[in-house]
Amino acid sequence: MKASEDDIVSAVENMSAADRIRVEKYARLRVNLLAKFAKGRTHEDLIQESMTRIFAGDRSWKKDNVDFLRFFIWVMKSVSNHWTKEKDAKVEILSWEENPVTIQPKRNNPVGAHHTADQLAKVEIADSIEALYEKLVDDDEAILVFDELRIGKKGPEIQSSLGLSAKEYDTIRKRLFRKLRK
Amino acid sequence: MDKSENYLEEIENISDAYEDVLLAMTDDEIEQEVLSEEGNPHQVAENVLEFMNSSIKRLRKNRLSKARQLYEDKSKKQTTEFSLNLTRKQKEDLLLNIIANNPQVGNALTIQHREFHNMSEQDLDDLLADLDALNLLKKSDDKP
Repeated sequence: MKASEDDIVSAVENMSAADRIRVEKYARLRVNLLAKFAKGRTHEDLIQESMTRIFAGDRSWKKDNVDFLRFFIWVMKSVSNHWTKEKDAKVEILSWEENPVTIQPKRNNPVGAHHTADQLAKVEIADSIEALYEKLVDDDEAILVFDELRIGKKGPEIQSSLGLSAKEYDTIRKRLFRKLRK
Repeated sequence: MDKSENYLEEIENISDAYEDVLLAMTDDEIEQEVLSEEGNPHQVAENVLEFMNSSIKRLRKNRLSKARQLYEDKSKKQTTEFSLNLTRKQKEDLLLNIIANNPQVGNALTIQHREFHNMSEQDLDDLLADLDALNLLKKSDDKP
């Protein structure tokens, strides 16, 4: 059953302190991972925009199927994913950083504008990846686990390929996420 | 798949892995982790509630504003209907009729309100609108 506005308000008010911390940690990590794609937004922006989207009816919570925490994490993921599709904003920001004369899209040349946006997206990606690796500098173990997670490998597979015990993997993984959140 | 899609897919992989970690940790472990990073778990939780509450406050403000608008529209409509359909004499007769049929209304009205001839046309309309909201006009509809 789709939750009402009152259900959502009640779920927020009754959320445990630990779940609120989970929300904060996830939001911080997500914004840091998106790096330049977040376009200066913070974890606070992500939480507030997610709430706004829920109340606007853009994201529905089927409360019988999933608890509010999982639902809210999904909304944060969805909202921040939407940021990466804001091509106009992307061009605007990068055109300011690069060269406003040559990069500004022209209204009469949509193909040229699209091409420019793609080129700029590559710059954003390179910068974003670099920003993430900078957070892990001098921590080779964390970089190795990060590289495995990036390609979608799961815990047991990573432990096996890197020859780590469950405890070692857990320690490195916690350290990795802590650094990525900062 | 272009570079951009690859990168975004990698972000999803890392986010999903972290979501699994967060959901697997106990509440105590979550709070201990904040403490180990020299943070204050209570403050972090309060901040998140505050971010979320700002949206809830906006929602409540919008609801209140809509309800107020609805009430004002309804009052205006009722006032307009009385103004259009009845003469001043008919309005005064209607009020007298309501009071005769509902003594408690007469007791509730102030002396000033019982002297209808001293009231402005607008006040008379507003009083009738209020009585209508209390469903007191229906019993007297056919009498004036």
